[in-house]
Amino acid sequence: MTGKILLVDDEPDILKTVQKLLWVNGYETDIATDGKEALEKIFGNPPLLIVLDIMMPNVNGYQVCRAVRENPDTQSIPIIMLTAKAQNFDKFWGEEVGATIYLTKPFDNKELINIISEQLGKTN
Amino acid sequence: MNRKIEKKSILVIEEDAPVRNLIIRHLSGAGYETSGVAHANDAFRAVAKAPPDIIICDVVLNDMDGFDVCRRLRTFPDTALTPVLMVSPGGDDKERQEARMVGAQAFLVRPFRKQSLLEHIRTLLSVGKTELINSSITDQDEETQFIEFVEEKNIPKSQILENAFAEVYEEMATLYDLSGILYTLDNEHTLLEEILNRSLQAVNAKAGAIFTVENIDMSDFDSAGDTRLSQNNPVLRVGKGFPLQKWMGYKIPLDTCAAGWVWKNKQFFLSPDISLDERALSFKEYPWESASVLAVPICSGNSILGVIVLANKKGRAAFNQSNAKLLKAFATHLFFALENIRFLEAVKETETRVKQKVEERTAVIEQSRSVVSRLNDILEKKLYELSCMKELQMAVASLFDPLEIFHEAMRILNKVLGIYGAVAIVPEKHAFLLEGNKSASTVFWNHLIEEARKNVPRDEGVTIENWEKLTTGLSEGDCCDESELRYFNMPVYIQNRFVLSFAMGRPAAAEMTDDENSLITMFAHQFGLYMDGALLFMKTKELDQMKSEFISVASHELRTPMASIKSALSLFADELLGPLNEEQKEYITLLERNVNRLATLISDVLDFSRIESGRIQLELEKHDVSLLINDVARILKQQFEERNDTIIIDIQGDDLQTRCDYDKITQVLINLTANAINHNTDNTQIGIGAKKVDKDIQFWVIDDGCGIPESEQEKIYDKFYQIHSNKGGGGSKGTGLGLAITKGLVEAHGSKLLLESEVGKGTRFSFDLESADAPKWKAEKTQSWNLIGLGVTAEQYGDRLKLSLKGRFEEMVCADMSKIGKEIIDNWGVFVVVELSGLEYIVSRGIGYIMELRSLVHKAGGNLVVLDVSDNVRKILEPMGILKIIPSHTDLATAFREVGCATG
Repeated sequence: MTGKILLVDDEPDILKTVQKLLWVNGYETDIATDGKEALEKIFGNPPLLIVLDIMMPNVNGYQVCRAVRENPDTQSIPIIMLTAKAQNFDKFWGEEVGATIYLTKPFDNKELINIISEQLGKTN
Repeated sequence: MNRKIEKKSILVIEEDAPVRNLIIRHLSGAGYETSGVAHANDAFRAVAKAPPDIIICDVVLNDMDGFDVCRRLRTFPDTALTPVLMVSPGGDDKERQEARMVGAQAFLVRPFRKQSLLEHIRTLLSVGKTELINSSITDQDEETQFIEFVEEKNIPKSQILENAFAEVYEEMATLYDLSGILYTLDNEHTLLEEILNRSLQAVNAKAGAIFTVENIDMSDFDSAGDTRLSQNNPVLRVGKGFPLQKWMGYKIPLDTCAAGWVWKNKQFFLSPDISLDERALSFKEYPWESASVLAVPICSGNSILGVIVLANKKGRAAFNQSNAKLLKAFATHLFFALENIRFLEAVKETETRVKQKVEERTAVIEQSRSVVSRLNDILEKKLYELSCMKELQMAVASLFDPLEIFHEAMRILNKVLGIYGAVAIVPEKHAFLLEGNKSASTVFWNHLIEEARKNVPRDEGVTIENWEKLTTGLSEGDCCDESELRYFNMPVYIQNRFVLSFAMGRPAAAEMTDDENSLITMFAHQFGLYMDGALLFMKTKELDQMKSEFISVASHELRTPMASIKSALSLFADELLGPLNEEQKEYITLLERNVNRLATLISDVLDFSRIESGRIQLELEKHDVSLLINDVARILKQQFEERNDTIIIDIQGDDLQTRCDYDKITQVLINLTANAINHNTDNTQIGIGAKKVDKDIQFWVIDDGCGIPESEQEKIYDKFYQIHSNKGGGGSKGTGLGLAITKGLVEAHGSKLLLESEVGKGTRFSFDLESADAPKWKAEKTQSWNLIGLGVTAEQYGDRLKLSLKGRFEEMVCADMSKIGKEIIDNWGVFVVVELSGLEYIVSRGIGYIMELRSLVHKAGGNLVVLDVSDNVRKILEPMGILKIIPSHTDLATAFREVGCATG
């Protein structure tokens, strides 16, 4: 498996724990702390998978997601939305803009790992 | 003197041949020898040839006036005394007078009845000279006396006749005078006095008296009969010349005097000297001094009313037969006059009684009329007040903006009471200096505002203290220089709380009446109520907004750190950060368990807040009931097994479909089932089931556990309430929000959570959901958005919306605002689109409409799309949690995608 998983969140603590979790499970990661930085990294060097927060400064998660889906080079990258927005409507909207999986915080480590491995398995 | 056997001859002088012939026929028929002439001259000739016994003469003749004829006849010796009957078509008083003057004895008005003609003739024959002669023939004694008298005096025969004529004529005249006056008198006493005086005069008597029965009972009047008055002895009514004063008013003693004799015998009593009269021997008051007495009954036929008694002391002329005859005629006249007068009196009395009754009734009616009119006034006043209040209510009930309410109130006050302008000042945080009716802006208004601004700088806000300052300034009286204005300051209290103060003015010329004062007090109070409501609404709105902001912030802010903690702990627990010893592991597990609990708690609290604030959003779609229930059972399988409980799934009917939010209803059933597991002992039987009830699907969760005591059944829905668990030691692990959330979720579906429970027997929770069998819900997922379009009018809104959404939705309806309500919800949709103008209309109609819209949106699953939106509308709707605003979008399809509604 080549390439990295991009973690996008404005919350450093989340970034740190998830990065550790993925590293322990054998995944390489990259991080971005807002939507703008994320888009730069995605379009610069498309990752294998994106774990995306929604509520972020500058460009939010929905916008990132829509931009990824609109670009032919990146539109097939699995996007896991990992967000504190837990209402049905948020979830519905997330899926609508193109999220592959919508996961609410707080999340279960094992579930996240399972989903990631499943998604990466699929794309492979 | 054998004229008696001769036929009486009558001459008729009548120009008009038919009348003449008629008279002749009548009289001939009655046995008179009658001849007729047409002209006066013929008449004179006829009279000269054979003087008739009676002459009938028309007043109007061709060649001569009837009166002149009569006058002329009187100059002929043969006809000087012949009775003349004048016939006239007129018969007024003047003619009668003249007829008497020329010597006619009778007067007959033409046309006349045969009977009356004959009567006249008979009368003339009986009272005329012939009558005198006849009577002397019948009364032999008198005749003898008369002849003796004549012979004694040696009076020539012609002289006798002249005297006789004079006497008869005098009698006639007397009677004629009497009859002229009798019927003009309406007083009985006057009548009696008049009769007495005339009687005395007529017969040249000195003393006299009249006795009559006192009253004629009107009831007797109809049943005429000879006994009708005989029970009553007459009493003395008038008297003259007798010392009778002591007898006045007393009844006549029947056997004491001549009057009693007459009363008893109904015959006249004539005595030349009563002291010598045998009849008087029986009188108790005998002996009388020597006097002549004449007494006649006042009678007609057998009816007798009284007696007239006349007396002349010795030395005066004694009464004779002719006196008696005259007096009898008087008495007859008196009889009828009395009856007449008494009848009239009776009639008058009845009339008076009737009049009195009528007056009494009229008074009563007047009185009740005035009461009714007073009541009417009161009613009218009350109605007016009511109508004013109603107008105010109509105008402001749907408003929630204090300023608008105030303006409406001003408009009505201006209309009803001519109020020029006003200010209302509301204390506390929401202090307004509301401006009055600007269109009626007057000197008053400027002054008031000036005054208000002077005392209370606007940007400082108005408090009760400085409002008092302001009103002090206002109540100084002459509130402006140029115009005489009066104003009123009306502080309004609601439940002892100062709500607002209200000052208004109008021209001083129009004084405030009491009615107006009461009206204005009522008005101010009503106004205060509405104002209070509006202010409360504003405050509530602010609070609601704060609350929803909190939920939104808390949701994100609590979850984010929780995520880091949970994830990091998990790294430890899974020994991904290095191996842990047993003790470390134990504590990390403890930490993890509590973090999980905290996460559940936060989630529950937020869910609950959302339900409470009405922000719960439902995704209503068609679901298979069987799948739904089996999912629940599968999720809880492990828990059932741990507690050794039995689960019974009971789905009655095939292919049950319901329309609901899958996650929410799953959560409801899980909560209820988990409660049944957790709150009962091991080995409990727990059933989950569903069946069709009418148009709905009923879901239930039932257990045969310990049951819920009645006293606790209400409380279990309370927030953070924990029922005492039957399991020793462990205690329940819930947050105490589970049932409150469950109930909220069921209610969000427009249903109701029902509980039946009995201690020791078990518990049954149930709720109904809409069945999805109805064909209108045939749309599949993501295309199931049925649509309600709301505009001010359907026409205004319909075409544009239909055009832009054509083909995107299964069904669509456009409705106007007036159709908001159950009907639409029942028949249509889950998704509400409101055009801006429609929404602003709703907002402008006030809180009631907004609530209606809110409930509509709520039922539709919480989705409201507003195309474009003004700040005003946003401010009002956002805090109520019913608005998903898509600003400035003109393309509806994009708008729908924005809110996650896939379209076609």
